[in-house]
Amino acid sequence: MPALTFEFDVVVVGAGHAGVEAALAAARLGLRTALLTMNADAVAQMSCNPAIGGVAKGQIVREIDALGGAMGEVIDVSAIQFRMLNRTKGPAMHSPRAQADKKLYQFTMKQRVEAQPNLTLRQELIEGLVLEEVAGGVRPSGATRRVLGVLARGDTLYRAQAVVLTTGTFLKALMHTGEAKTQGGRAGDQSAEALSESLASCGFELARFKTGTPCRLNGRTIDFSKCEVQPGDSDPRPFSFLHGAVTQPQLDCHITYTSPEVHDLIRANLDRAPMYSGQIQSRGPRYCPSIEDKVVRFADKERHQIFLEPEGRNTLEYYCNGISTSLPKDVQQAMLRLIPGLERAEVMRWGYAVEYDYAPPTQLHATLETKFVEGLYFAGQINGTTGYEEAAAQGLLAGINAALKIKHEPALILDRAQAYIGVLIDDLVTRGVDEPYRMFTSRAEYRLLLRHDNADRRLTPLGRRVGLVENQRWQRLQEKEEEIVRLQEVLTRHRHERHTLEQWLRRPETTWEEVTALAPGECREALQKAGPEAIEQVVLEAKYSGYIARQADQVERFQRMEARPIPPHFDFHAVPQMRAEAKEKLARIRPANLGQASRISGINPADLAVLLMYLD
Amino acid sequence: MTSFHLDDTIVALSSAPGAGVRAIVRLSGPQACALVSSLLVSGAPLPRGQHHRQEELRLPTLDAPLPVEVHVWVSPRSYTGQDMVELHTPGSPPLVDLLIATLLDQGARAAGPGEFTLRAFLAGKLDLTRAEAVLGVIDAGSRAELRQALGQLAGGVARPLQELRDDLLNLLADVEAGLDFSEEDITFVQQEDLLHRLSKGLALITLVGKQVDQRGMGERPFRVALAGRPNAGKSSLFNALGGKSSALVSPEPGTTRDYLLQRLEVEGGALELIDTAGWQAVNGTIEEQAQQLGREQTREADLVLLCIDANHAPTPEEEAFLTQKDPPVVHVATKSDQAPVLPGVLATSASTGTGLDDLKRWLGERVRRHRRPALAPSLSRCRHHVARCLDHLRRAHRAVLEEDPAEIVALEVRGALTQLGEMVGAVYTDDLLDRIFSRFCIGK
Repeated sequence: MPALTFEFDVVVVGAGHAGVEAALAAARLGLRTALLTMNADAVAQMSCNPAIGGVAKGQIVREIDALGGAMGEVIDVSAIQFRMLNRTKGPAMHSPRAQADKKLYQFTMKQRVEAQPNLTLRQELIEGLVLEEVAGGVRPSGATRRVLGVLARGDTLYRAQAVVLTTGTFLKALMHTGEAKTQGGRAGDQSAEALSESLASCGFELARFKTGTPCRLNGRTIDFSKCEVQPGDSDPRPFSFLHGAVTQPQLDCHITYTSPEVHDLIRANLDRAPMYSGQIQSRGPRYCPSIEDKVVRFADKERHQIFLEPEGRNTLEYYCNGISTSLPKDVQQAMLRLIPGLERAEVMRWGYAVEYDYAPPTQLHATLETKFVEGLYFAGQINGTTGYEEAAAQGLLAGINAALKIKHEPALILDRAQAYIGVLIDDLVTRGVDEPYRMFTSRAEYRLLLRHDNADRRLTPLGRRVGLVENQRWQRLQEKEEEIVRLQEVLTRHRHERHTLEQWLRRPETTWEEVTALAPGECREALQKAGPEAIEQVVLEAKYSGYIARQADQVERFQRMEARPIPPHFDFHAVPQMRAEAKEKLARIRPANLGQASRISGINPADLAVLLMYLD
Repeated sequence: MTSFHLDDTIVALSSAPGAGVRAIVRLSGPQACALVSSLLVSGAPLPRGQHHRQEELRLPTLDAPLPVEVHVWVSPRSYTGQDMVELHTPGSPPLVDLLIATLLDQGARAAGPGEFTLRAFLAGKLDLTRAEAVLGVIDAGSRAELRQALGQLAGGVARPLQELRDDLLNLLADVEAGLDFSEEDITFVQQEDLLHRLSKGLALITLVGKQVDQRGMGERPFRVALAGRPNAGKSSLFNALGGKSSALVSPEPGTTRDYLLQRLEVEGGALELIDTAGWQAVNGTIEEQAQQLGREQTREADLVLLCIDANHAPTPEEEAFLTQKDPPVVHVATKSDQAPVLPGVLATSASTGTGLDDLKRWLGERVRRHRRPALAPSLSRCRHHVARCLDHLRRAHRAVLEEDPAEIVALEVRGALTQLGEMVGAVYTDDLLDRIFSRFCIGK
């Protein structure tokens, strides 16, 4: 018997971006929840760049917000700069991004956690899982064991019906700066060694990834006159559908560049770079390469961008976005001397690379519950992803699904046509990862429908169904939908030169103002007075109606495949006509429906036909 | 992944392909009746309920209405358990092809191999043992069949199509990179370059479309070339095979080719017989003729009959020519009334008529074997994919010209790639990110 035992419904291990969303969701759905972190000063810490959103990621944040998650609201009040990326592209590409005041973001989120009823935040180092064999040997889900709780250092047991692991980069974490190696998942923090062992002994397959971060500088020592200025938008738009406008003043970012001299220096010291000396073997993200990677792989490029991003309003610390590195300190120092504006810059924190364990996510159901251990959920970097937004999205869905399962309610699984979050999770559990997974818009087949501006219309009803959407958010959506209907009614009823106003609006060159001018007097006012968010929906749906209809057609076909379930216990090996390779893959992934089966790499239409014949 | 949407209405030729008394085109799915109704000359929709009746169909590019016998079965009381329609038409391959192509354009989908049977099984109309028989067919895969059809119809374009697909994937990667990595200080692709690459694709697909059209089944029967030394008896055999209709022998108008051609109906289908009579005037050796044949006729003929006078033993050159494989060369002995012929050699005599019927039967067998059962539906499918691909590329091109948002260009290029993938295999665009990261330095 442990010396001390606590009883909870849900225990969340790790209080990063995945952990806080998971814990807040579970607690708000009425479950007694514990959020356990090895460092209570590091709740929702941005371990890398001080920014939220970006292309495809900004859409995810809007989706998290639409479902009732926290990230959007917190970044809105803690941001120091807002930019809508891809403004020159079509509306589906518009992607909000914000620079955060790192500490303000953390404190805002921490306070939200502290203020949440049902939620206990506590500093603990978790060292193991407690499992039991399930009665009867196997669950309908295929699990043979179920989770009972977690053990904390100091002989403490946290009993729970569901456990969500959000371990980030902390499982068997090893940091590298040049030849120097330090145990720990983030500069100044420890590593979770025992938990990793515990997962492996429970039968989970673990693998290793690498990621990295650049140095931070003291802004007092940067010569900004030698840099380009990158200001925020003059008309900043908030992430949260609850927020009407952004009011806080914005700070500038700055841009400088590396030079051939910098590249020569790096090349001369490559033998001391852990990525090239063989000291690091694991794979890192290709879209987030270290500066030494860039110099080696694109030798003919003469300069690389560096974004100098302030870390907050109450600090002079700057983040050097673009020169992530694990080169030794003396090389980092020498490199800065050669960069315009940074010649005299003082380093506050050195860049480093970190290697950590993750669990290949094909071991999960689409609810993010593990296939082998009932009640155990994984979210965030433990699933091989990268990015605060990707982590938060998984945390939110894991927290929701853990709560729904305990409450015996149907799970919330978003499909690829509903949300980027659906694309994210389906990719993870169906196809797995071979490098840290980041979202791109090109991963979404139906991206013209998955816009940031309609995330509330897509997802808030689902958030409402599970109980995470409070009245205020729900009412805002209702009002917006009603207004959209009213506007569309006016536009289709009134004509100008034989064409309806809606048809006029479809023309690329016709603006909303021109269309309202064509409306008869009494209606003109109604159109002019409408809210900007409703107008936006009406205009976009008219302008892109042809493409939207085409994608909607494809979505219908897609959803018909998703609607053909495969029983959880289906024995793929018992299908005599199926190719051995197909049997092996299907049995390993265990797709929940025919659509998912079709996305497993190496499964062809003939395999599906054979499968279909034996399904009924 | 087109094949397993059970709510799609599928269409296929269900009688033996090729010229016959009648052909049967079969549809199954919720839209079966509506699709056929939309083509009826009478304009009245087909009544519900199982029945059959005489109707006339209006097909594009066809002046006269096409008489058909329409058979209707209504769900669930049909073979597939779905609404089913059979169209019984005169067995003319070009007509049948046009009919299927029209139904595809109206929204039907070409049935994959075994797909009717699969539906019958899923509707509980067949037991598993019987259904298993079709699994082998399904396993054979519809792509292989399509590739084969494409090879036959538009020989020599499969490789350019592969290259086009590869080029379009690179182009898509460039466009996508511009969308997902707009913060990089990189211009991934210039508008001019996009237009140039899309134009190249358009030209190639247009060419393929033309070839597929020209070499459609009706206009492109089995071709047999007669070859041989001067006075080997080619022309006599050519005329004798034509029988009474040898009067039809005439230089093909409008061509500069120096050969004679006639259509010949044999048991098993129609064939084209080509007499290389013009070569006699060249006074060339058989070697020269063989070379000429190799150069000009190899692509045209499906079979070469090498006529050798029974009075002479084959020369070494003729022996060598007989070993040619593509197209195959077969020894035909002429003037067999004048000298004995070795066993195993086709013996003919134009003057006595000996062996002519045997030769025709033998040719009929070759024609039958040549007509692969899958060809007819594959032809319409190829046409369909080529037309759709062309559509998408045109729209992509216009979108670039009109400076539409790049994600619209991407949407059209993806559409074109899907259609190309259906023709040359591999639909997935998984390696898109690899293409981006291998060529551009991306990331902060």
